[in-house]
Amino acid sequence: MLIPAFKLDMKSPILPGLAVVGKYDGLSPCLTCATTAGRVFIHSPHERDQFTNAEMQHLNINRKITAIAAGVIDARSTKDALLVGAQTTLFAYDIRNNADIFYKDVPDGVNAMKVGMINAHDQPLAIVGGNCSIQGFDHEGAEQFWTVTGDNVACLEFCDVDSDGRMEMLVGSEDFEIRIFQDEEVVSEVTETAAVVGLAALRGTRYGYALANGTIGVYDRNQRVWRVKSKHTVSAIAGFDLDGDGEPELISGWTQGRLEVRSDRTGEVIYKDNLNQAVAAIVKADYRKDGNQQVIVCGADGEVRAYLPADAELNGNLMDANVELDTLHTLTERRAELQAELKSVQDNMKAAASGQDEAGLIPTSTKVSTSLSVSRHDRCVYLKVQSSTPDARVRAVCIFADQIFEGESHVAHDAGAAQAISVQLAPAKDVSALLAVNALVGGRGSSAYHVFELSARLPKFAMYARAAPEDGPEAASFVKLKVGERMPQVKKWVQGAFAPDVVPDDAGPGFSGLHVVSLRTGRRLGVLFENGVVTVQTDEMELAGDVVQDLCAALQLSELESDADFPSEMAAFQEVLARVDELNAVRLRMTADMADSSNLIKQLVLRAEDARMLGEIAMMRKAYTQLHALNQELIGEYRKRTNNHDQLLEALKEVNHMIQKAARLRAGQAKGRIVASCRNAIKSNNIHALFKIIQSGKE
Amino acid sequence: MDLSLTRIDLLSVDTTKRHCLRVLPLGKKSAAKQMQKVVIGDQSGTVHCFGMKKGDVSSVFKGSMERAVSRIELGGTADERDKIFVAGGQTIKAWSRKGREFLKFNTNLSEDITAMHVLNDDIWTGGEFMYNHFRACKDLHSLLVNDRINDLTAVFRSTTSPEPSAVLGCQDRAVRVLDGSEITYEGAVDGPVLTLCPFSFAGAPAASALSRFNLLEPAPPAPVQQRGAGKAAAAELLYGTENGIFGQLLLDENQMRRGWEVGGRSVAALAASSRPGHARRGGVSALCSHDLTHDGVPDVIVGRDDGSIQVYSFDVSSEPKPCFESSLTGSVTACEAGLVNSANFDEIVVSTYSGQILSFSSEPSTQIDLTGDDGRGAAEDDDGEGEAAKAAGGLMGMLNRSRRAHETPAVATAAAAALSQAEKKGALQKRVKAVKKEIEALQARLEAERGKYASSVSSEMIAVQSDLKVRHTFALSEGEACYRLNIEISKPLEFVLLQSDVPMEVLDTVRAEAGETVEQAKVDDDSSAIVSRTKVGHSNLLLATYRVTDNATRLTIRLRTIEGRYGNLNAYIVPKGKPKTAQAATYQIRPLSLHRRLPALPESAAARPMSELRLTGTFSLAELHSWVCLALPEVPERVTADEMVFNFTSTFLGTLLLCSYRKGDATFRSDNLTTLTTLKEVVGREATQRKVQVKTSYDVNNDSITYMLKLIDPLLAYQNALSHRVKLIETLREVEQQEGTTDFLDPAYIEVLKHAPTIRAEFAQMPRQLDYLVGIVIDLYADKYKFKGVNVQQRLPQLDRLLRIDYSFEALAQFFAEV
Repeated sequence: MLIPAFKLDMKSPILPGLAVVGKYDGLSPCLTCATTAGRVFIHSPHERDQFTNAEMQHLNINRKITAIAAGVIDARSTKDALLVGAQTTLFAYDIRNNADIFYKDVPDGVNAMKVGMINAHDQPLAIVGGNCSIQGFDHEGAEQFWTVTGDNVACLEFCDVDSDGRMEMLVGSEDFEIRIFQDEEVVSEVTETAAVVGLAALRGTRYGYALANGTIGVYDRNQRVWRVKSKHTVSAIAGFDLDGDGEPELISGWTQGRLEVRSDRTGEVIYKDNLNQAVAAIVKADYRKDGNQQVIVCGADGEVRAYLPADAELNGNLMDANVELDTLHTLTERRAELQAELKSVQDNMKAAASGQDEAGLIPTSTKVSTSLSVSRHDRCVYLKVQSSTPDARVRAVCIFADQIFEGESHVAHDAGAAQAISVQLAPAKDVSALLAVNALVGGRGSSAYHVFELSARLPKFAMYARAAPEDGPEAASFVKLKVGERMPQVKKWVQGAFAPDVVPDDAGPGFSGLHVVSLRTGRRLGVLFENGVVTVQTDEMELAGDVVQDLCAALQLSELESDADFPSEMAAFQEVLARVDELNAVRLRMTADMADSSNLIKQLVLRAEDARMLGEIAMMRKAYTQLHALNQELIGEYRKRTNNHDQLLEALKEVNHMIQKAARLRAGQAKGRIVASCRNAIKSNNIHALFKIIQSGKE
Repeated sequence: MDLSLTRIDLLSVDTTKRHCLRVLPLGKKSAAKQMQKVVIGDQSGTVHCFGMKKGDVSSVFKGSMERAVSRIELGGTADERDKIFVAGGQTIKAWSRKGREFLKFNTNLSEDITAMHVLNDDIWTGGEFMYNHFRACKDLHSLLVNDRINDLTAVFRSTTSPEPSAVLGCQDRAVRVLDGSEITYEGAVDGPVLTLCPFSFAGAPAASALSRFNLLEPAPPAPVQQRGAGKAAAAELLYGTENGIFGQLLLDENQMRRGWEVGGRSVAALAASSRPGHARRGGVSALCSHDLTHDGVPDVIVGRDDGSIQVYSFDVSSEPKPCFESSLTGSVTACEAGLVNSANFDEIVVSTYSGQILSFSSEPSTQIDLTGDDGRGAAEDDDGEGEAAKAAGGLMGMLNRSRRAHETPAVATAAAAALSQAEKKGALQKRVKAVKKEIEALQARLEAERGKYASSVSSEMIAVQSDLKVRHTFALSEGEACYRLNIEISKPLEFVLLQSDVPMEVLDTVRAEAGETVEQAKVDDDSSAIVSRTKVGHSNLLLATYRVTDNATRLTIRLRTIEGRYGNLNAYIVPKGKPKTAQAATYQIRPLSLHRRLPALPESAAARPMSELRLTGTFSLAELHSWVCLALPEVPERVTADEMVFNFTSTFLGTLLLCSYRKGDATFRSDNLTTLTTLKEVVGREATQRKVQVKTSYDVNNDSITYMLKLIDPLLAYQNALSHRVKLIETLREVEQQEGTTDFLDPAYIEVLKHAPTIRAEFAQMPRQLDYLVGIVIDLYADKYKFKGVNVQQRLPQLDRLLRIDYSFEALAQFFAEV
């Protein structure tokens, strides 16, 4: 039985995800966690405070802490710096000397942070994931790296996913995506079923992930190895070899206090434990300085448990179980299952042989088919589930699929039980999904049903119907891509990406494209091909990006340049940029005003106190009344400032998002180049150049 | 939790009903290393008696019944109860321990036998409502009971009793004690009685030194009896209920007394019941007593329909304390204790609904050895001493037994150590290999059969018949004021689809229960079904799937109904496997679904202001009874008297409903006006359908409205205070951290800090809870003015606002007074 190597009580709450172990003198590990009231505590058991001899030190940040990291960011030093991220600021501290290293305004926010090396830079950087952006700062706080991503970054990890000997950066964000960055460029991405909340490198090309809907799993080179969904909420994951077999397992901590260790290969639970409080974070360190790494689990109320890898003699058996007995138990269960199944088949066979066909559920020749159709009127896609015989009626259809439903399933039920049920599907996003359809088919009024298991594929752009004249003119904006000789492949892609009744049957040489209209927005989309050029006509740059990326994936294009013209989006973008300027100006002015007011406050306090000393009560009262008024004013100002701040953040996010959208109109190097050039243009405030880059992809 | 037991799988059979497994007593010639045999009956009608040899099942005999086995009891003389009596349908068969069938008795009863007890020539049986007593297969006594008989046993109530009395455990929460064909007395417990068993050293575990000690006869005072009863003359029984309570009953000549009780409604539970997140344990489906802890006092072994097995022991107090807990995938249908796998370590033998027979052995897991011949020497020594104990009998034996218990493990461990670990492992691994091979063969055969099926019957693998056996219960869970739908099948579940034409709320299994103790959460943790809801349309007010992620055969779903709305709930149960079939089950949602029967009126009833609804007309008693059945749960189907009287209480608010009716005249009284109007609507609708004239008259007591508002007030105030309390948490945490102590804080604040996670969880639930409460108040308001013939529709939005935003009791009372 694996038992914790040590337990500690920090006597302070630990905020979820905000714990790290740093060696601030280069030698002794110190558990550092964000706690309530904007403070950070540092537990240094090896080196006590020289004045108070206390193990615990507190740092007052006085801001809402959003991320925490520790690591060597100055390549000349061996000491870890402590990095603390608040909503829009980043602090770097030298704990040993109790000094600031740098302080940086990060308007995009600090949602996730990690210290690591980006390949193109030969120095360690503090990588900060914010709203749609990722930044890297060196030890002086200078920005050395910048790129954009699709949504707010929730977690960062380094892992050599493609085993090329270089570490890739993995970024999990709120738009369900795990993007893998090679420097500024996204080399691949995987779409999951919910917001990504945790990533953990395992061995080699394997990494674990955790989602907001309680799913955890493991990927190997972008292929999912396994996943498990739970109704609980996962709060932290880490990779650590706990059973001593040389392969790190996926360790997960849950809000109900459970700690689970699952095999990275099979997902099988090999150890579990329960804390009496929510798990807040999981970190790794040689905390006792005896040369053995431990995995340290931090509870939300300050309980800390550390586990050492199991001894070899436990033979990977951490749960104090008689392995053979357990195996025997599972096998016996499996045997019983098989026996039951065999019996059921044989019984069915017997029943069939005895000729009581009419006593059966439904005619044994029944077939059930599915078909997809787009309905303009109901603004949805219908999946029709049809039985082939009138005696077999479809009572209910239950579809399991990722991403397209609010939950994981969608049910259609017909108490009347007709021969067919049409299931309304209206995915909110353009995603391709595999539908696992369970159709419950039975006789009229029967209480037993046969379950047909069918699968159907929902095309990525299923929510588009063929355009009609009343849909108005074609979209004025477009993006043009040169695909050259690959026209037949493009046509094949179109057939797979849109609903079958949208694409004409004879996609022969005469087929030059299609005009469709979105069932969600009623806006038009055109995909036209001519002379080796594909034109995507739409007013929505995001949609154009989706189409381009899907096309690239289908054609396996690693490099693609394009020309884009999105006048309406660019006009809106110009407004956003103007708003950013305006909000920035307001912010500066308000900061100045606040400084004035705080000076005034100091004066009033002095005056009031003087009056009190002199016994001039009337005067004192007057001063305090003024003070009160000023205070109210300040609070009002503060509200305005937060409001301004929120708007600014939103606008900045839009700017980052625009760059991301522009990048997605290209593939390969062109994609990476855009991000870098746009950043430069924004930094130099060259709006004209920025627009040109977005349009042509070149400076 | 100081008892450590290891699970061993023995056998799997067809699905089993409750009380269909017994452990036979040890044979007469007390040879060394003797072990006990087990007899099990399943729903295919097979009776299988087997022992365990070297970890393998060795059959003693197999018999068969024409119908599904519904009960197995051991009979014989009081000294030697080793005859196996099996009931199936209306037939009883009996086998000797060697497998000789010596009795086949067709009772010619009109109902299937579900409960039975046997002693000497006497057989007591219970059908659904019929109680019968046969002597030498001749009908001696019989009785028609008011509500369903769930279990039956017979005990001697005192030393002077010439004959044992039958004791019936009934659905209507009553335990009835009979002499002949008459009910001598009856007593109420806090839930429908599912199981009864004698609390003693007897029962099946004859393995102990006390095996010959007959406890059906008045027992010499055992320590527990002294403590629990004070009176030695009373017979002691254990009972277990559908809502998870078990406890002790003491029966003497004239009355039944209740002793200790576990899982009942304590004061704290009552307080918590109106709040969300208060979960209940599963119904007690199996009970037995055996001294597993070897402390001289028998422990109580509890099996529940949620698959959990617990052992409760008595330490210093007279209240039992849990000392072992484990959970299985299927609900427990029987549990017994004995020596089955080893002659040295006693174990609990358990059967589950899906037909798994397994045991929990007290042998340390690392030493379990299925070679079956370890510790032989130790066993011999041991039994020698055991013999002496038997001779001494009674209390002496018990003392010996407990002393022996201290020695046994040590001796056995020493002996076991002699056998090399590796050798044992080898034996086990061999077994694993054998089973693996078996599985491979089975798989191949299954593939072949499937292929044959596909080619000869149906290429789509369409099933010709559905062989799915579903055990399901749909019962009100009082503490939570919601329904628990339990579904269990004989194979692993894939998913369950729920559909309903009545609006109801699917209570999330986990997130709602953050306020539970860790232990409770752990139990619920084991069900890992993932809920997913579909947006609802006009005819489907609930559509949801529960996907089962592990190999569970059982699923519990919690649903909260809204009183006044009625209709059907459909569940489609889909198991794993091919051919794949689904089974539908329909449950009726009654208009007053959250009410439960009260065995007796509380003392405060008289003081409550009651409104009255009176119905008169040409209806018959049976007609009115059927309408009441439609509207309320827990009403027996049959009419048993000229005037029917029932009392109900609302599990959510605690309001009462008193019904009394006879031919042509019915009176319903309640302190909740809405309850009465709901009832009237149902009766009105049914009466119109049948063209029966019913005249209704009301006597509205205005005090009852204020009374209701006062009842709801704390709930509303609590919900309204929640948002305030949530805001306080962060601030208080900060204060706590800065100051390092909270002693100086107001107790209310300390309370907030202490229960922060609960408060947060409840806050997350608040919108739904508040909706529910607001619904009740609005209904009450509308009902109040309905009687006055005033339409208040336009004022309802205002009331809604008042309740949600600026609630105060005074304002609400004021609002109710105005039109």
